[in-house]
Amino acid sequence: MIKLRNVNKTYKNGENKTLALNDVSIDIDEGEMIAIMGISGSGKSTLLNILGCMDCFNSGEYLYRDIEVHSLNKKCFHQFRKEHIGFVFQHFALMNQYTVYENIELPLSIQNVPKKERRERVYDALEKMGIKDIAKKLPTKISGGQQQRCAIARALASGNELILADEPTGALDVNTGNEIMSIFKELNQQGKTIVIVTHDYKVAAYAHRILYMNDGKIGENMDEIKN
Amino acid sequence: MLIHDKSISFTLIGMFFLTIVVVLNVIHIDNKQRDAAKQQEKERYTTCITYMYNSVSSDETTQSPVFQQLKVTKGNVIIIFNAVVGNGYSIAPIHFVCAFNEPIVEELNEGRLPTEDEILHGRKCVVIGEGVKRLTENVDSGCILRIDGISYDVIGILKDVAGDGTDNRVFVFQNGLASASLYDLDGSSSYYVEYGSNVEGELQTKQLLAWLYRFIPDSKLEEVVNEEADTIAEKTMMEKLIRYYTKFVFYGLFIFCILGCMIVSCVWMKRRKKEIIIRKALGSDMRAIVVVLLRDICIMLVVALLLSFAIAVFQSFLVGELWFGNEYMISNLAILIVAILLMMLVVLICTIYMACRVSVAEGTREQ
Repeated sequence: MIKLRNVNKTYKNGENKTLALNDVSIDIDEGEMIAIMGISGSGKSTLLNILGCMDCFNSGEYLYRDIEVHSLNKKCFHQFRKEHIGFVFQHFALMNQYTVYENIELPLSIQNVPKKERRERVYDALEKMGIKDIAKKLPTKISGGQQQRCAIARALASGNELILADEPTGALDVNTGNEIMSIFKELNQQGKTIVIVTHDYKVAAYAHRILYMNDGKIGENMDEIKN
Repeated sequence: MLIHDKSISFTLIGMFFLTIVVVLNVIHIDNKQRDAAKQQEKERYTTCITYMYNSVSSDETTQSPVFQQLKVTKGNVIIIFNAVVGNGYSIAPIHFVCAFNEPIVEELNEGRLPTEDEILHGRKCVVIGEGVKRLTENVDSGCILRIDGISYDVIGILKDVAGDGTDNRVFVFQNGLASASLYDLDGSSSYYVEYGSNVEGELQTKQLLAWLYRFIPDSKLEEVVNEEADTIAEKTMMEKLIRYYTKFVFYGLFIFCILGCMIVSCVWMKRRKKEIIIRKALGSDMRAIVVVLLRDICIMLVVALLLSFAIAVFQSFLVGELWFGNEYMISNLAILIVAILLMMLVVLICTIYMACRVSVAEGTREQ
């Protein structure tokens, strides 16, 4: 489903250059659940941003099914993101002035889905996440776990096959974190491809495969990427 | 929910409201000044030369109007005769006015002004003020007014702007008077020919003199020093300064308000940064985001417009007159529309600039 080949990403800060991704090559299959682990600054969020087309890279190739993502322009990046990727962020990234329902509806209105269909899909996602009763509440009035469920429901409602989650349990307590991971597992079993960035081994244990990152390099075990 | 982030949105509405109120008030002041300037322009001119013509003196008072003074004011426009209606006991000054190369800006209560043909062929016709109509019995539009033995058709009555019936002007048009000749104006001690103009004074003076020499021997025409000229020039200068000052205050206030809108919109935008990031992350492109922001700005602007118009109506009610007179309606609306568009443009540029600067990757990390 996803093929990354020799991807390099450098951040420039004046004259200082930081190599965030160093010759990264990975393959992610359809329906796979992958966890990317690594210490802070190892490049895992950068990798996730590149997978989600939220950031561009300096060199290398990115293939998503038959789409050559590396040759897409900025405008097509938006389109690609809209059509193929669902995001779940550590701090939920919900709009506080919108209700839970409206937050979940947002990607659908961006996709110009008809109102009737939007309603059906939002309620379907709300039901799957078990938060139908809080649909009319504002995110500020619900718990962290419920907020993350809402964020997952938003990714689910968008109908996109790939879900990228950046530290989805980072802002939650252990029990709620486990609940959220169970939801991800369930979604994966329903056919969604999920990439989770985490530094928590318990979270990573839910994945089929764990990839480790260190100083911009990626590998299936820590030893092969240590200098 | 149409307005998000109420506190900053209401501040922005407030800024829009303030700007529109400033623009509306300044438009109102400007209208008033323009009215006053127009009125003053009718009454006096920046350059003024007076000539005195000594005629045969006579104390005889006849039933016909008797000319005391001949005035030519604003050479390119009119000649004014200061005269009296004498019937033995009633003496009231009447101005006899004659068009000179320029259309008259006057409203009529009834009748009409002469056509170009009528002026050219010297038709003996006059347009009179309400005062003359009142003083001269049986004179009405369509009747005949005799001036110094010559009959003039009354073809129009001037609108009584002051509303007190004291408009004693009689408009006699250039060629109509020419055949009457100044020599016919007996029974007066002297005639003053006063010339005033706002433009090209010298040329107009020459034209006027050439015209006058047709009737008056140049030996009998002498220039009289006009003591009021300096005062008039001083007053005019003062009025100009006041107009410039008003404009300066207006533009200053407007720029201040626009800057205010700009700053508040930047803050507004900063507070919506998270929303922009989320929208971008979910695949919204810049155009769609700008449409959302523009919609919000429009809503705020409409709210501000309604509020400020409500205030304007209230103010109109207080001062007892309409905010926009019909005369300036189009120019006023044009100013208002330009001001609103400018305001929108400034706010939108700030907003789009800020929205463009938001990086999704960095933004999601910060959030």
